[in-house]
Amino acid sequence: MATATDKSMREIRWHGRGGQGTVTAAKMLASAAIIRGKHGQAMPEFGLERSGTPVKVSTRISDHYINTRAPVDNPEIVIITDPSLMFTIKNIIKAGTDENTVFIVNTNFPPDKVRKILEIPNNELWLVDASKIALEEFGRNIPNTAVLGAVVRATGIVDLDAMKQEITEAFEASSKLRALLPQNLKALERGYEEVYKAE
Amino acid sequence: MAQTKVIALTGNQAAAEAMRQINFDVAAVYPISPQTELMGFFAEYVANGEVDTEMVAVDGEHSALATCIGAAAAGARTITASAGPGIAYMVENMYVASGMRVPMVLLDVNRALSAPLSIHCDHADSMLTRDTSWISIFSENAQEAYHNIIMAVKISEKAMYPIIVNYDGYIVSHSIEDVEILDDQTVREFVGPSGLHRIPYPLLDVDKPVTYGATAQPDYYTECKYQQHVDFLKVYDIVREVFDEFGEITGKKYDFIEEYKTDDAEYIGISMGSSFGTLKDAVDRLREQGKKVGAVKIRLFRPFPVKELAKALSKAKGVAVLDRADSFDGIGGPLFKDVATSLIQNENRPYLHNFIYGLGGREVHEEEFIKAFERLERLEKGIDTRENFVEYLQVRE
Repeated sequence: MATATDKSMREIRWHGRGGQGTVTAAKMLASAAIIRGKHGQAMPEFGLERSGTPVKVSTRISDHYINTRAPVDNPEIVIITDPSLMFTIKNIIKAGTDENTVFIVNTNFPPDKVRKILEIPNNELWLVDASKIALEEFGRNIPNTAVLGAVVRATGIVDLDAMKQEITEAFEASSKLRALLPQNLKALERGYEEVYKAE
Repeated sequence: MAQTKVIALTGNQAAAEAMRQINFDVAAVYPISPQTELMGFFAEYVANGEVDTEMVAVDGEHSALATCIGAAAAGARTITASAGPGIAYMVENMYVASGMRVPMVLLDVNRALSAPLSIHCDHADSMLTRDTSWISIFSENAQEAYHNIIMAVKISEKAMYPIIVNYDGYIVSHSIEDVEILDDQTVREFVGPSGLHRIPYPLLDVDKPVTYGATAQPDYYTECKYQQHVDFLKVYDIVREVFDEFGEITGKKYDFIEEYKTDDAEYIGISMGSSFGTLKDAVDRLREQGKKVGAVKIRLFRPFPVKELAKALSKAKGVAVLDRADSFDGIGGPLFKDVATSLIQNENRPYLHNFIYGLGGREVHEEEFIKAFERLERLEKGIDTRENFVEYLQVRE
């Protein structure tokens, strides 16, 4: 959401579970924007880092330097990378949102079910089965690259080429991840193609 | 002008990049959150042969600093890093380092102190170092942390005092942002080559053997401390010199304090570290409502920028000092005391109020700083009254 002092500011909040790459995805989104000459910021909510616990991350992107170090309280875009969180922390996910907030959800549920669970009858809603894509492409439920593809398509906040460049650089820099780059680029593209806007 | 590139880095990544470019001779470290990751990044540079650093894994922070003292006295360009309780464990040796006048850099990835245990950010750890005669600089973001580390090497070696570069744990250390990185050559030319010539009396000079940290009996201890006192006040000019030189090379001109919209400000908020950007946003919001407010950031914390601050606050009606640590002593947080003392020679002293905020990683929002400004104005105008000039900004009672 554009702030009072910076009309170009985009504010995004991520909800995922530790171990699914949500923090990494939030950072990659900011990094891709920085590649394109914008200012970017990604701040994890600094809980104890344990696999499986809910994590919340803020991403900001702007044409101007970003002063604030507050977490995103009124997100323009909410991204849910683990569908089970819709049941367990709905109030946290919904906090600070309104009818203009865009939701992007990794799920295989149909749109009406997601709308009902989250109680968002009229919000812009995008759905992608990113876990399925991740399992098919590299056999592990780390849906972050597929979710990033969906976010690029749904929001246009960065272009797909910048996202590809960022993922390529990040994976190539890591001896552990290097071998998984082609599969993740495929997951990114599939997330971009397979995400759809709910009626 | 230096070659630069803008890339996305966390505070810890930016700090590790500065360390790589400087190519320290010795790094002695013990891991503690949120510093662990920083040294993880740097250890990769060491393992990959990208630096010549002798990295010493020690059994605790006390030993880390002891190792650094020995290395620095011998003439090595030396660095260590820690946080929270690790800084507390270092403090005894911090006095040794400054008393022996050995230059070195300590990165304090600011963390709260136990109990209750918190791995998150506040400035209590750095406040333990206030009286150690280490130079101390606070960084608002990853960019400043990166620049400060490069400047710190030079400041420390010119002053022959050790130096702390502070940056907020997690909020800066683990968050990503756009950081402008200098080319390696510019950094290496700026800090200059390492070697014994940097040290007036290197421990390993066999032609002119010296003793470091020897005993001083009551007849000389005072004189030693007096020399330390006099010399520490010379640090101001050295810091200014290095800041200026850095500005000429990079175009980024730093000062002891940063003033934001203070020229006509009636009410001024003061903070250190990552909260300052949020404070500036609060100032902008209040300015839109016609409020004459401003903000001051303390960059050079030790020695304290007394003159600069006294001037910056000379026209204000009210000043809110935002402390990210408490002193628990009835006379205000550590920064409040310093600000109040800085105003001792001002003819027109502003109304002073102290807010404690952001303890143990408590998130800081623009709205809370707006409330602080509003409370300050009401107090100054006599609309509100106060029982104590120290108040907690974000507490649930």
